[in-house]
Amino acid sequence: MKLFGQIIGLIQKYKPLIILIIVPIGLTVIFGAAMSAVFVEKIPIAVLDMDGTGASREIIEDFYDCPGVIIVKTAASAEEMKEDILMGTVKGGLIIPEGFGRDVAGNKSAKALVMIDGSNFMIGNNLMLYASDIFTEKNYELQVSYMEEGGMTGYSSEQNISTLELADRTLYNPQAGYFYYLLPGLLSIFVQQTYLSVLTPVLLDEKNRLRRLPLDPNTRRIQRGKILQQIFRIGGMTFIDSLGSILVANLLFAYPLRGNLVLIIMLQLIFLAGITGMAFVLASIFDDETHCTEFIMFLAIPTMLTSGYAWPEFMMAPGFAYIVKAIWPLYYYNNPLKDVMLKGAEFSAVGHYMAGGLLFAAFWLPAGLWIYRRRIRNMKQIEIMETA
Amino acid sequence: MRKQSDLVKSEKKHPKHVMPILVLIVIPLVTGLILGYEMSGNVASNIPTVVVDHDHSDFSRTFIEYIDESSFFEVIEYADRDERVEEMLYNQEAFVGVIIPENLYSDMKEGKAPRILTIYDGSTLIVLSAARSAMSEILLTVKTAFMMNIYQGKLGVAPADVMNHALPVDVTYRLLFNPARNYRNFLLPGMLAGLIQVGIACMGADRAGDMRDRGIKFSAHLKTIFNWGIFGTVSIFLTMLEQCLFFGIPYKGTLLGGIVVTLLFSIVVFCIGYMIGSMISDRTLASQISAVLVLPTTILGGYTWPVLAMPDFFQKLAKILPFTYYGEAVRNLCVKPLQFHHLLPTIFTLCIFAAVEIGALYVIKRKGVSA
Repeated sequence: MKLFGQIIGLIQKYKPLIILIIVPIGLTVIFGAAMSAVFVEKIPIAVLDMDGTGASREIIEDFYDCPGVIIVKTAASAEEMKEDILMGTVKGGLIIPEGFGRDVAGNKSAKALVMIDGSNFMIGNNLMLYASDIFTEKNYELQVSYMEEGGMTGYSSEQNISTLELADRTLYNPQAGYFYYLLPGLLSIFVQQTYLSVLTPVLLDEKNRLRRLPLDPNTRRIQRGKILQQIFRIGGMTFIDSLGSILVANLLFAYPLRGNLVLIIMLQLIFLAGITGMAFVLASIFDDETHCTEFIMFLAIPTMLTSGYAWPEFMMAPGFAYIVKAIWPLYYYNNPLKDVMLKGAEFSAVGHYMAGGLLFAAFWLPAGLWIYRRRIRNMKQIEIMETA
Repeated sequence: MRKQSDLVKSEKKHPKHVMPILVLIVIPLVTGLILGYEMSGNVASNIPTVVVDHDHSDFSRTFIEYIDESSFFEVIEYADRDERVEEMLYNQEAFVGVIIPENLYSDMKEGKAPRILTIYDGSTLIVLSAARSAMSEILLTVKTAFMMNIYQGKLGVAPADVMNHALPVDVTYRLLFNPARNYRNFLLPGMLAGLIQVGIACMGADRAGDMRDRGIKFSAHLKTIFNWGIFGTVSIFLTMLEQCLFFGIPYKGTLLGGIVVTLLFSIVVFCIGYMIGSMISDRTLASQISAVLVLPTTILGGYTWPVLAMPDFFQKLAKILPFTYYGEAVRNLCVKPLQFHHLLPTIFTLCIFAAVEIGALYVIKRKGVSA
């Protein structure tokens, strides 16, 4: 009991430090480790072989040999397979109908069915990819043999079959790794959430301090110096948080260190200026620290999903992007941060984000301050009225 | 004068009942409206695409038309040099580039196996995934037509048999439950539930703070937990209803099963906050700890990046996170025709969570664990 009290006491004492540095870096480690795999493998599937010939067994063997899937069940019927998919015990299934072997031997375009649970894209798309690779390989083999039977040489038949194949090249994240993609977004959310969680209570304290002071206009003033000092201190700590997280991601998960560090710092500075304006707005709306903190916790998911990071701007509904850019600054931070970290983008590519972020801060920082001061003035008026 | 009294009234109003309504009703509904509207496109479409055609044959022009006519792509520029593709991807002006090599058609006719180069921007996964599969489908169509010509022209296969040769194994891929790959159906049910769970946990911590040191019976705590569990359920269902009514997100599963699972989940999450609020007297800290404990479970519960792709430790960790079970259940209830029995394993697991938490809460209250 005593130990528990001591631990809570320590957390209370070092809360800003824990929120600003330990939690974000800790979460980077946790998320990085959880998403360290690049491919979704060992997807559980069922098979239903209604043919039972050598050709069907060969296909099933190919599925057994594929590391992307794992055959966990031999289903007795298609209905049973579908029921297993509904239960979630398998994520898909291969059905080879009767006559498959006969049709393969007789050049009659043998049929096969792959059922895929499409409710989770990450699993469904990968399963489709693995199955498609296996069948493409099979078709390739069969086509070569058909062409050779028709009198074409091995080389010619292979060339004809390979014609029009796509040569894919994926830039900036060649393996389409999920953690590679997500990290800049996570970092920006960490900065936003931790900064707001620590700064807003400071602004609330100041508001409540003024509320408690006697009605003397000379003494009852916002302590600008103290607030500024806190803003610089907390903002400074978010740099330790973001740079520390990048370093940890690099050291532990081989996250590439691309891009210009000065640009990353500038983007963060601009973002902090904008989000400080929002902190003033929040501190003017809420009186209770707990309620304000709870509200800030709510911001993580909606601001991330509306910032153009997960759902790109060109796909947004008409007019939506303009509103988002006008009322919340995350768009100007997480998108260019991704470009800098993944593409190694230079100023020319992210300059428009910086200009937008500066404009946002130029409006919302004074506007937030004005709203905050006005709220304090309202509080004073109320007290005067109550005293009267 | 009236204006001044209104001001006093609004300033003095204690937000005791305002906050739960804000957290569990207003914020989820507003967020649902915002996200629902934002993603009204449902799938990645009109992906800005740049094309470089070095062949300039009728075939290459037809191929480009196929791409442009597809709902997935929008050719925004016909460039004349390969470097332009990379430039446009770098500047986020385009997300896909297609480079058709010189002599594509004549090489095809001569059986030289020419390839079309497609370049994708890998920094936006949703676009990458949609673009790759759409491009493969377009090419498969074109290639099958070409193979049919080869069989008919060079090998003398009868027209009726051509298809059999071009596709020796004709595989049908049946993408069940979300065949259009609707991103909103995939993402929003769980993400909104993930958002609401933060509110439920914070309310749990808040209420526990209010109930501290009142010397009330344990049954009164249980009643509070149950009542707030119902409130959480109402919140989640209202948000789902909004999505169904205004944005066409389906709800195909059992309503009763959905209610039971959601109620159990709400109770379990509220109980987490309630336990923390019972142990920690600092209300803000209790709320923060509750939120920090439940918020990352939206990711660690495998809602987007699947649990089966996580390392062993995280697969085990996911088993003790309520959202692992609920996140999957709520999405499945939307897109799969689930019946009550399909949810029994989830219901059973959530019952165990609830029982363990209530047991732990009993110990906390009895022993007076507090700081």
